[in-house]
Amino acid sequence: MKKSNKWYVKVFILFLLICFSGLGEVYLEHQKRILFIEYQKLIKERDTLKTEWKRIQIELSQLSSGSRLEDIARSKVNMSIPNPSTINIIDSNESSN
Amino acid sequence: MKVPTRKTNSNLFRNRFLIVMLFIVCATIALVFRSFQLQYLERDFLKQQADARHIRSEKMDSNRGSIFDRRGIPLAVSTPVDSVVINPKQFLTSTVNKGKIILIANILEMDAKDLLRRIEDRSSKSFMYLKRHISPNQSIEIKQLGRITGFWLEKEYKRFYPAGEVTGHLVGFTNIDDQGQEGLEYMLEEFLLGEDGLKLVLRDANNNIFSDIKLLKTVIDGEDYYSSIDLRIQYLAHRALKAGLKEFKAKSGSSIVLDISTGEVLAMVNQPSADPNNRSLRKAEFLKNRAVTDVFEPGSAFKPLTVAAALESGDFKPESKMNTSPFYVGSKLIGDDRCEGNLDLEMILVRSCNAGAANLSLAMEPQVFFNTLTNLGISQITASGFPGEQRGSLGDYRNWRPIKQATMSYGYGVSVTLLQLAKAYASIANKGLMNRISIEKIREMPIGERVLSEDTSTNLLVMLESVVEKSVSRAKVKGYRVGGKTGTAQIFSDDYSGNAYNAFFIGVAPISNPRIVTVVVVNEPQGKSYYGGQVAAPIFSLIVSGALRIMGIPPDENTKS
Repeated sequence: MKKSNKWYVKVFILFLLICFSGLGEVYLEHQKRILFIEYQKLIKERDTLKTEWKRIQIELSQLSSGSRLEDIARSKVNMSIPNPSTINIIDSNESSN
Repeated sequence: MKVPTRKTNSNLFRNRFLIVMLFIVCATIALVFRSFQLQYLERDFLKQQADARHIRSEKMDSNRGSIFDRRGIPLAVSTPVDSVVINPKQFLTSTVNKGKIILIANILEMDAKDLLRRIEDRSSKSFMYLKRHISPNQSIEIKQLGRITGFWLEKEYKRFYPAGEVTGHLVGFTNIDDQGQEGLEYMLEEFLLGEDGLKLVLRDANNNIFSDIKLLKTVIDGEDYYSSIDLRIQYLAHRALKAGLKEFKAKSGSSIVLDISTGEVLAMVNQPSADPNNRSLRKAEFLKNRAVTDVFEPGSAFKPLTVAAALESGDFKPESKMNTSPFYVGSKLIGDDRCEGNLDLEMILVRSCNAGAANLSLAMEPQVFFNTLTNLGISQITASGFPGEQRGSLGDYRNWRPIKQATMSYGYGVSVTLLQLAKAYASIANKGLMNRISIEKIREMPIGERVLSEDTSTNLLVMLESVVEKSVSRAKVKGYRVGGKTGTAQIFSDDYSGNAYNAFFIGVAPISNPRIVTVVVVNEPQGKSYYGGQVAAPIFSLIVSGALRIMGIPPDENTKS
């Protein structure tokens, strides 16, 4: 009699364990979804930032392009490349004397 | 009376109860059976049907790697843009959509009737691009239209070339599907290309994703590439060449700046050029990277290589004198009115004596001459990896006839690319050590391969400097010692009777500690001046003075002893 009683308890415990494991599985699956969605959201955010970074890089290189700088230097601030005959080269050794 | 009534009532109640119970039991059995049927018997079929309706695998686009110059300035960058996609079958089933076509057409700046006809032509299809790569503003306007059945935006990548025509030939471009077609984009296709990812998503009936399920494959973005180009020098060379070509009314031209100690290409420009961002300008004449794909006879610019071979043979010293008076090889008169009598090797270069060079070459064993030239990379692929690179021709020395050996000494009967010429000069300037040409930024100082003795290299540099000093004043750079050689080669078409010339200048600077080699070729100048010293030398001087300044190389004029 005692033996069979123990048998029922075992089955009951196993049954409970299966239930818990089942619920656990459902819970974990749910967690996984949530995390995955979060992950995808972060990836999207990263991509948006990356795109922005590239856009800024392109903008910077366009703003600093040689032709634009040259244009501004010549027309807005009246700079020009000095005539070679007007350039004086100072020797760093001489200047220290 | 009451009792029987009660009894009948109770019987009636019992019967009703039994009937209801029976019904409930039957219904429960039916439900259990049905659920058993759905859950177990038809499970696979139904699940498959549901998944097919809602679960999709969604491609995640990888990003093509960017190309940068040596200082990290972008030369080619992919940024996402939207393309308008339509599912004609689905789109046409909704009658509301016909009205929306006008709105869509307005935003896309297309004709509504034409658009509808195009959609109807493909009414049986389920995918069609209405317009690819629309502007960001158009994207916003289309998103404001709200959900339209069978109509959506798809993210694609568009390649931008911020430096535009300045790096056009070198960087090349990609097609609308972002695949490399020319230049570095083509050469580096594998490297720049990423791997698209894949994920499972749940979609609703309108094809909108509402939940991600599972990642099947991670996106791997393409790698970024740091080229050896310095955009500032590239721009300078571009501008100088463009202006020079205009001034001398020339057909085309190219220029290369090489870093002598590393073999890196600092600038490589060609003319004519066009902005690769403008697809309609992608024509062959604007695309050819002539500096590596075109071969030509180098003319007098080849003479220093002849002198190098002579010095290497050990039979000649810089002070050795050669006869420079015109003479006949077979029926051909070799010589020019610039030279007469016996001159030393330096003067042969300074006055660019054809007869002197020819005598030098004829005095050498063909094999010796040949070996020095091939060691210097003539008729060898430079291994830079550029698409379409030519190797030029030198022929087999065992078949050289005396006339070929004589004319080769001054650059006729031999063909080279501009890059080969630059590489040979760079080896001369690098104490006789040859570096691999690299278009990629080098992080470790390479160890060159010895192709000339140090003595030969030193002697040649002295000669090249005095060429500029004594005969090519336009190549001079204020504050710096430069050396170089001009070349003016008649272009062969049937014979050399035409008036078409290629004008060259190749030079080294600064002489006290050579850092850069710059080559300039101007093809077919149509004006009065066509000599290398008149046409190519000023362009060289402009590029070199700027490049030395940009690189922060101190003037070495005072180091001359």
